[in-house]
Amino acid sequence: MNSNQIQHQQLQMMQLRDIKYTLNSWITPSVLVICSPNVSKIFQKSGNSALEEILSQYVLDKKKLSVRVGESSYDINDFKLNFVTFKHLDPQHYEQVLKDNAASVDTLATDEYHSNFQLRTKQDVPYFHKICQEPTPWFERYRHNFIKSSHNLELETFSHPIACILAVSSEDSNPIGMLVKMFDSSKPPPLFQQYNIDANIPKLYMLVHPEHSHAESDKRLAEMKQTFGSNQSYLLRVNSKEDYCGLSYDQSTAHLNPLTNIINEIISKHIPAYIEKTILELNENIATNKKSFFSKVKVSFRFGGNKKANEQEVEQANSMGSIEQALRKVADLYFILQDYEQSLSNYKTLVKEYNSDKSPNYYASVNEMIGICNLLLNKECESYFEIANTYYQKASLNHCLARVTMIHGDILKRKNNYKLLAELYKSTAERENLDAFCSAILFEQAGFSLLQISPSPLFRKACMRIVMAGDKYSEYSKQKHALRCYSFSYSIYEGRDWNLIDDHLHLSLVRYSFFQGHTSDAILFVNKLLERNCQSPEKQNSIIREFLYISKTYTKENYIGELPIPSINNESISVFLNDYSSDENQAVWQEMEEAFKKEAQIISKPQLQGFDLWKRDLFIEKEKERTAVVEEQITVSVELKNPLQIPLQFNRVHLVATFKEISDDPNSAIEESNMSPLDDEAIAKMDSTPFKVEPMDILLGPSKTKRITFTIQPLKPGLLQVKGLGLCMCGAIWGKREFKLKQKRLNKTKAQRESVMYEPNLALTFRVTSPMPRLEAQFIDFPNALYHGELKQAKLLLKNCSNKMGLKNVRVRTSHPTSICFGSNMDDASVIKSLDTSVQLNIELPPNATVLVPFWVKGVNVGRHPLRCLVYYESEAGNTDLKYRLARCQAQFDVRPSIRISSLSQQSSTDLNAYLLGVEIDNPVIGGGGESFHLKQISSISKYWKLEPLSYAGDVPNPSIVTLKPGQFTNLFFRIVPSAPITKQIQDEISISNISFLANDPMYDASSFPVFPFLEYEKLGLDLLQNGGGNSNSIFNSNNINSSSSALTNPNSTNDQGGNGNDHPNHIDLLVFWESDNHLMGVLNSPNISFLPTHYNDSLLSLPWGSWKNTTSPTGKNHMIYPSLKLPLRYQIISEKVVKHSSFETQPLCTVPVTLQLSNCSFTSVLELSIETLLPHENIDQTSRHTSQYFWTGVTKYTIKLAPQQIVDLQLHACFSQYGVYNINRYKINVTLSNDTHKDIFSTTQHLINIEN
Amino acid sequence: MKKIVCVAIVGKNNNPLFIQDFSSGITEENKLKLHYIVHCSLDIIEDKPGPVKKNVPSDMYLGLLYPTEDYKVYGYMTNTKIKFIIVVLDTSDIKDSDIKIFFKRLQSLFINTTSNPFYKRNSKIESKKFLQEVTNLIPSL
Repeated sequence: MNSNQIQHQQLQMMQLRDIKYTLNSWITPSVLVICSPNVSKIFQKSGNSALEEILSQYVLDKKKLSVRVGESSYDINDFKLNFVTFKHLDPQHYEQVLKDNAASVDTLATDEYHSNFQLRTKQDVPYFHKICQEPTPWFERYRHNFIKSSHNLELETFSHPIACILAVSSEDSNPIGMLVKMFDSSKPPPLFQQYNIDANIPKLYMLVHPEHSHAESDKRLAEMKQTFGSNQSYLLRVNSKEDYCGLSYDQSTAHLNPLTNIINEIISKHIPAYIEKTILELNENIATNKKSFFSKVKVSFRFGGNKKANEQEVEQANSMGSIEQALRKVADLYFILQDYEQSLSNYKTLVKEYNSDKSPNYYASVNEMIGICNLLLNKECESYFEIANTYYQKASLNHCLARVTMIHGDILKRKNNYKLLAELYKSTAERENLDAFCSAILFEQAGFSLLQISPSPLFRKACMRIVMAGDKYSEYSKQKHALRCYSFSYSIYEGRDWNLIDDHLHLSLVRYSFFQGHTSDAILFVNKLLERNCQSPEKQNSIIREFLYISKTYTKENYIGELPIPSINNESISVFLNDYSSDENQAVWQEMEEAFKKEAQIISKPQLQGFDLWKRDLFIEKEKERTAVVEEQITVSVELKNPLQIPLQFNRVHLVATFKEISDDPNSAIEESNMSPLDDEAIAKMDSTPFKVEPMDILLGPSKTKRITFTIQPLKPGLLQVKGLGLCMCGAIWGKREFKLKQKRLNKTKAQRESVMYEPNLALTFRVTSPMPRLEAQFIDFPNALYHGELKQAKLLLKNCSNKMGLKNVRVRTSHPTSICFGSNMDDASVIKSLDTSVQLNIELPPNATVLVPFWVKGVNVGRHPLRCLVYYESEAGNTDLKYRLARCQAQFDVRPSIRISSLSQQSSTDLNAYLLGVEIDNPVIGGGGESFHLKQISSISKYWKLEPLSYAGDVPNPSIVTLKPGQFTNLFFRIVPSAPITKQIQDEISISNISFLANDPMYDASSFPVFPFLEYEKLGLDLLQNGGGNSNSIFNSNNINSSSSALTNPNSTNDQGGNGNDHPNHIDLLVFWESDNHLMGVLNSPNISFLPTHYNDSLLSLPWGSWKNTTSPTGKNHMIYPSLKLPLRYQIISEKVVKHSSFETQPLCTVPVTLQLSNCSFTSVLELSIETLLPHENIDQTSRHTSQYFWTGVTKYTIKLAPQQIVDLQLHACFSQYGVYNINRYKINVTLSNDTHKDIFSTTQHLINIEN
Repeated sequence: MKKIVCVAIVGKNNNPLFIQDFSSGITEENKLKLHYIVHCSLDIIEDKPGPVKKNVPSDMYLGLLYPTEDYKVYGYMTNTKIKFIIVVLDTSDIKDSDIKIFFKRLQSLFINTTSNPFYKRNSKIESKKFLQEVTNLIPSL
């Protein structure tokens, strides 16, 4: 576009803005062009033109018109003419004109008023005015075109032709006759008759002569000149081979062109003559008819309201119409001549002639003209326009109404009266039957007028108007305009809960975004539309139908990308790499998996301390994608929801993924995806793609949620990333739904903190690695139910499913490590040292091999247990990406209560080195159906101690005491004695004493497999429980079961006063073997029964043991409080029980030697003691008031040190002065507990001495 | 014939809390138009100066807001900027005092409903009871 053109356009825009310019264009008189069919053909052939079009080119320049009417002469410098045909005059043609007008501004239409502007609040309005001064540049052009083309033949005479050009071809057979027939003034065409158009207009006859024609043009012209007069006859030679018949207007050659001549003659001669004549004639006519005219009006008034008179009047109106029309015609002609004063006075006369009620159309039209005259004369004109407006409305002349609205609107705009302007535009735009595009334009203008109102623009109302404009635009199928209107207004309603309005806008936006090819916007709005789900099911149904229809029509290959439905619960996405199914107790599995990971040393987290902690972010290992194996299915489970109230069908739902080969050169990596529709062709090709998916059809009911499992099978090693779901909606349209995984916001570096960055979520990314063997594990003969303590054998079946690769290094980890013991006998047993290590099975499996691993199960805790077992294995071939794989299997079992054991231990009062053990066993099941249990054997395991029966010697006297029917109790007593002479050497052997209750039965070996490992596991479990599962190190140290010396080997436990409860050697593990009537066998363990010296008079040293307490716990949750070895001191008095004394008279004192035996029970610590006898007046304790009846003599105080396990006898002497029975308890032992803590111990047992005569 | 065609309550942030039309046989299009009218009336309400003195109940009444060709819109705004809007058929001639009484009753209904501890402030009123009570209130005008 060159600068001239730009200037021209700008000039034009300026002109269009001036309503006066538009008005001048409107009143341009027209010349009727009538062509014979032959002529039309000639022009049609050469460049698809018409004669009137060519003629129009000749009046673009300024033409001068001079007219003399009576005394006044008029010179118009810029005279314009329209060349029209009958077609143009015909009101039927007006529809087309409107369409052309609408199309004329298409190029100016924009997608947005201003890009990226969102009107949300009142404050946005001034900003909008600032950035977008002219939101609707097309309005003025449209107004110009609309007014220019808006003519009403009945009401106004501007479009009545003032001249006529008749053209025939020289090839026509009878051109003269034709010319006569074509327009006969005495018999004018029906259009002229219908609208009373003056047919006595100047006529020009034209003979069109194609150059190649052989017809005798000159002769014909001569004939024409003869018939019509030489002034009116012309010859037009045309070259039909050139465009526009070689008549195209060119300023330089214009003077040679025959048409220039014709036009000039029309303007200079014919039109002025016609106007002069017509005005004179009409004026005369008016003057003569005035009198009769008024009388007639009076008559009509007299008969007003009478029906008959009405009919009469119609007739009269027709006859006198010519007079009114004459007046109108004169006024219009003066108007054309730009004599607005004259014109105005005529219009003013005319307006009196019309009755506003009877002929509102005429009345309105004349008022409009008065207004326009006043406007052009710069006088007050609005009131006339208002009248015109009112009566046009009454007469339902919508297009005239629109014209007067636009003219009036321009005045209001100039006056900045936007409120009224908006109202005016809106009321016109609302008219029914008004051209929809015009209506839309007016609504849009009304909207922007409302925005202009200051200081408080009515922006909501403005948006409503703009939406209405959008509705009208869409009615006229101007999609670009409609989309602009809707999207502009949308921002004000967005997210504010105006549901009905939102729905309306969303629906429209979906439609027009699609039409305009903004598919992603359309999808966005569909999402919003369906999001709220507040429409009725019928409505939703129609929305979906429309969506499918539109998207099918407007997208390529039926693929639209992201679909709005179904909604995906992104948090529900879960991935399973191996073929095990989902499990609710995922955490249990995960814990075990993590443990294996640790064991395989996959994670190597550095231990950070001190200042390194500042930099700990640097040491956090980057999360890695998971590893999948070629040809093994990856399972992705997703919750899909139908958010709508109608059922939805989805076909061929499948996973969508991208695949990338891993190679060193990033450029050579080929990336493949299956984002395109999965049609039959794609399915057929799937075997050659790097991965395979399995499509499925889904029907989702209204508001239903379904969890659906999809599979994908990688076929090549590489990087596979699952992106989402591909699906065919309702069998019509293909699209996808992407998974949106939650991503962690990064904020480690400054760049990350300043911008919003996210860590990639690798949950759906897989590193596909080369083939690996796959193991399947299964329990065989696993018992459903066990009694507490029952032992049963079962098997674990391991199968290598791969037919190519072997596997090795099989390890097992279970959720109940204390209940399972792998192996069948002592030799092949796989015993673990710690509960958090895995069981190493010495197995290698060649391809397709199967192996049965025996193991024992024991009912350890009562209840229902889901046993989960994780099997670890490695490929024989090795794989760097995937060091090991895991297989899962699980089983459920119940543990029912059997018998309960409580124990009591006490120090023996007769032997310093022996303790008493009471065992109470009961069968707690009360009620019918309970099992009876027969006790078979009791075994003790300890390092230094063994068990001896106390209740009986040898056999059990009555077998019934060891048979427990439901609800029965039995008590058995045993004596705990040292198993061997105690030496200071540390024994490695443990002593096991088995006591069978039935002499003839074979004995169980308590140290054999699996009884012993289970005991050890149980003890490990208890330790774990006591230490809170804390420091595994300490567990390791204190529970090293191979060296079954638990605490004593521990160099730290020298201090017997504190520390761990089981730091002393005085404990045994008790095992009770039972059998039931059904020949079930079980062992109940009571581990760590302690027996310690007690000192009752000191609360610190007397511990709540020595009473019955449960030692078997059915739930395993009882915290066993281990009494600590507070004071490893035992003592006893040894003396004669009866002392004969002859006479106190002869010998007043009887001295009895008493031995105080002191024993240090500890194996490690040295006891510092001072033993003191009490003085007669001293009380044993604060509460006793007794005074002594005896006293001590000889050595009364010893200070000694007791080495570990040392027994010392001290000699004391008691003196008695009377016969009687004495309790020898008047001594105290002071123990040094630590450096400055001392404890006095008083005897609490009585040692009686009888002094007899 | 019912005079009131639409009752709306608009929250502090100009979000609708309650909007219900009451004329029988209303078309979907007219319903939409009513929503637009209610929304537009917010322009006028925003423009009106709020209650000058606090705790003067008569000041809450905003009067005729928006005479369109078919409907008249009346408004009422509480001190907490909750707007009550009714759309009335233009043909009906109603005294201002009657409308004031109607608004006051509507407000007390609103207060009762929103005092429900389960009602979340500034959210849509979905109480069926409230709808019923408003429906019962309509003929009173």
